[in-house]
Amino acid sequence: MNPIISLFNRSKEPFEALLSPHIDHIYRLAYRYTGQREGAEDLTQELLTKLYNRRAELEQIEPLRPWISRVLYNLFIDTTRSAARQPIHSAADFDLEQIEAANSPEREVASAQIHKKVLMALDTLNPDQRALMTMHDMEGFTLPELAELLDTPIGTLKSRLHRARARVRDEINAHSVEPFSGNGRLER
Amino acid sequence: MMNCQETQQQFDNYLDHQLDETLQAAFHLHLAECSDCREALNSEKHFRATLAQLPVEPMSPAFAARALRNARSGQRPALVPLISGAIAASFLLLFSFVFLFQGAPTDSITVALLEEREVTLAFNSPQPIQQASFEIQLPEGVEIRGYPGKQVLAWNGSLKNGQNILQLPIIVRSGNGGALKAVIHHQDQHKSFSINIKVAERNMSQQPVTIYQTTTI
Repeated sequence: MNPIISLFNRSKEPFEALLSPHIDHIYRLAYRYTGQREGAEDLTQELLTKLYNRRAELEQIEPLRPWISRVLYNLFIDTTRSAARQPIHSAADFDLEQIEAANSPEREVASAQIHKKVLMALDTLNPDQRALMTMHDMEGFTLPELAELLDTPIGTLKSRLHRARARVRDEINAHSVEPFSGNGRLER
Repeated sequence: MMNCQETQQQFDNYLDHQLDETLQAAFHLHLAECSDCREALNSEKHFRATLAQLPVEPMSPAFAARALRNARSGQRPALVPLISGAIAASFLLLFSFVFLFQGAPTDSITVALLEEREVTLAFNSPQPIQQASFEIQLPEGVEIRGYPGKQVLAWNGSLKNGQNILQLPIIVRSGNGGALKAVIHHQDQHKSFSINIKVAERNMSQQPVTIYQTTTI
């Protein structure tokens, strides 16, 4: 474990000391998966509760963050599949304009509207596609990192990402002229 | 030399740094001569950039500390039981009905606009019930945290002998409130009960509400 983190968290219980540095990362990923704060907090809470039961194992894992990311991914997939839920709604309820328009000129409002359309398109993905796009296209996990994390061949990941992006693009283009249509891109 | 179709088929590989040197050279060569493909590539880059820039709403204040504390005590999100039939087995069906507010029987609660309030349905079942279906019906403008825009939540589960608790964190987003109805179906019978949700001015503070349902299926 990072000695600075260890020192900083000296007064905390081992579980808190171990997980505190990763809470923001967990929440951020969970938010990307679910598209809304309540869902992200619930998913984060569920993960932490599960991890607490494996706290002895946690202390042996290095590096911890990729391992946590994989557990969160599996939890998200399992939860959404077992619930037979659609990808968790976000755009319909998530008031991006409210968040982004605080200092906001028209341009930022327009940007918020684009974001809302993208979120609505992401809602049409299945949980696996959404999680994959989240990790790769939003959070910057590379294909080799994902291949190791998810124990999946890079070629398979590429295909799944390609299909997911195509679906998102199609959804966006089905509801607007901009920003991702009319580019002359050929069907692939 | 690549044509437009071949070039655009490599966009993902190019942006993901998956092209080998030979393909990359051919890719660049085509782009240098094809404005349509350059425009299409820019559009793809813009798409990726938009994804990467989607904002993340901050977590609730003190959530991190609370979540770690809850993890130690084994607490899970209140609505997790709604998600899974297996977990829903932990719900309780009460065979008697008392609706309490601050310790006294009542059939209505008052909730401030946009304020989250936790309503608790407590069921006592004198016997295990293996297959039951549950439904929560919400008035317009009222939602359960984590299920925005959904006015009906339904799931299947079973009930164990004794008391079970279902916590419903409700939020009034708009409107004038109305009846929150809970329905339990078992075989060809069903029981329902409801409470009236009234909307007050924001910041009105109240204590948690507990509803006890006593009925017989």
